[in-house]
Amino acid sequence: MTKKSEHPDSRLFDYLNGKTEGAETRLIDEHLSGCDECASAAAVVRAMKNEASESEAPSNQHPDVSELASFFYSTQESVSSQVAGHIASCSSCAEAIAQYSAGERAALDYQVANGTRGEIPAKAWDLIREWEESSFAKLKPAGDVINRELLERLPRILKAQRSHAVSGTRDAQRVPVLVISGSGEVNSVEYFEESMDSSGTRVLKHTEGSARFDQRVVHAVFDAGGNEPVVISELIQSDTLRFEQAGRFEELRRANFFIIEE
Amino acid sequence: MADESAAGVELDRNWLDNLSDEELVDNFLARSTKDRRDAHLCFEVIIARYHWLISHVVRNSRYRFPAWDSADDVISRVIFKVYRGLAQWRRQGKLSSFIARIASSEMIDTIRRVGRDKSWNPRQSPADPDSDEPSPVERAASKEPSPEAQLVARERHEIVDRLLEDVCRDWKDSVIVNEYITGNKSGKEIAEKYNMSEDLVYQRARRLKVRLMNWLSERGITSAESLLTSTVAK
Repeated sequence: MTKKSEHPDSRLFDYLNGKTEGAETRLIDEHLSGCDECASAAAVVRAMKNEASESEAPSNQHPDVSELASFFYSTQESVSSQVAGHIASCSSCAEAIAQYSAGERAALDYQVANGTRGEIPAKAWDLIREWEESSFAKLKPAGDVINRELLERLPRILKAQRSHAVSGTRDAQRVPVLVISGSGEVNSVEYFEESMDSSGTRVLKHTEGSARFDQRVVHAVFDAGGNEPVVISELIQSDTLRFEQAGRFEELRRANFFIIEE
Repeated sequence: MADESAAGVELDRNWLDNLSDEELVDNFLARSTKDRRDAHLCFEVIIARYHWLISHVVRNSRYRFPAWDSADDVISRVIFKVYRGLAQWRRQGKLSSFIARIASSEMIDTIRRVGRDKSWNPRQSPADPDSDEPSPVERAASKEPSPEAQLVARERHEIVDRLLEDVCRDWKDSVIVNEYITGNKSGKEIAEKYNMSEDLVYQRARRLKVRLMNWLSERGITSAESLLTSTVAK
């Protein structure tokens, strides 16, 4: 009786991709003919390879760039099994991970040299100045944005909404945005998924994904310790709100969001 | 020189050059809401330190940009996003990592935007709009499978998706499975592409095979055929 060779655990995938040669290939061939476990693993991997060659995820099913970045930079296991599973079968997202890996390698190896001088391009200054001058994304007294009547009614409306959210099954990742009339009637409550993008910007994405609120302004109101609440506003673009300045105002985490429907 | 760490004191470029990254970013943030000119000066020093890294990450990328969006444009957008996002830098990580992450994200975002722009196809010359010839789309035979076949295919995808979600624990697992299954690569090629050691790739491959076998055995799956039928893995 011949002694069974070791399972080719680490080399099985190379073998199945034709990346082994000569004696090693023969050894694995022999092993597979006598080991049901490895033969079954090989058959399953072959079936998955066939399956993969027939499918590629549509572009609208890829994780957001922020999700990919969080997944790559996370130090915890199993942060998102869905993202992990998607990348395992999606070539373009695997390419994105290769990009993060190359960037991270360059960053870890990088040493700032003495006397290094790299100038900021004029185009970057244009973007910075345009953003700084933008009327959005700046804190304003609530009275500058909301009419007096609505401003007086707003605390009561928001309080009612909060108690409704507490009694319901509110998901921490889902942020309610009230759609209210100029006189304070609540017309509907829309839900947005909350996440952070790669630069730490707070991102809210409309769960419905219908784009019907695109180009509408969402106001975030919160108490910053003054006499009057303050407001920060952003446009919804492609179902997404990006609070670029939000990181500078921890209070925004306690904000209530609403759209005024004229 | 007097302490210039607080906002409101005129800044000296040489003094800023000698600050650590943390001190420089603190100065930038403290001044950004009070004196924009000083904040800009702090930011100039930050970019002077890291411009080479941004340029390296963008210009050495695996991605190629269309002519209307040059590497210089991408670099400008990265610098803008660094400016906008500096308050989010978590100090336990290096500033270089934070900046490289923004640069990589911007490139991926750019390539995805290009992909969504159907008017841009890098492999095809523009079609003549006045031509009477049928377009490639019109010439193509319908490859739409029957509803039954679509249902079977969807169920098979779902089973494989579930398996992959359960077996892959982090990005290294995911890319190793991807490159073995869809990329037909060897462990050595995977190691080079993703900046991992070969030992690590083979160690992970061994663990992945064990997890795969456990997943199958827990569900009583003994063959590739039974894996891809809709009655298992629910």
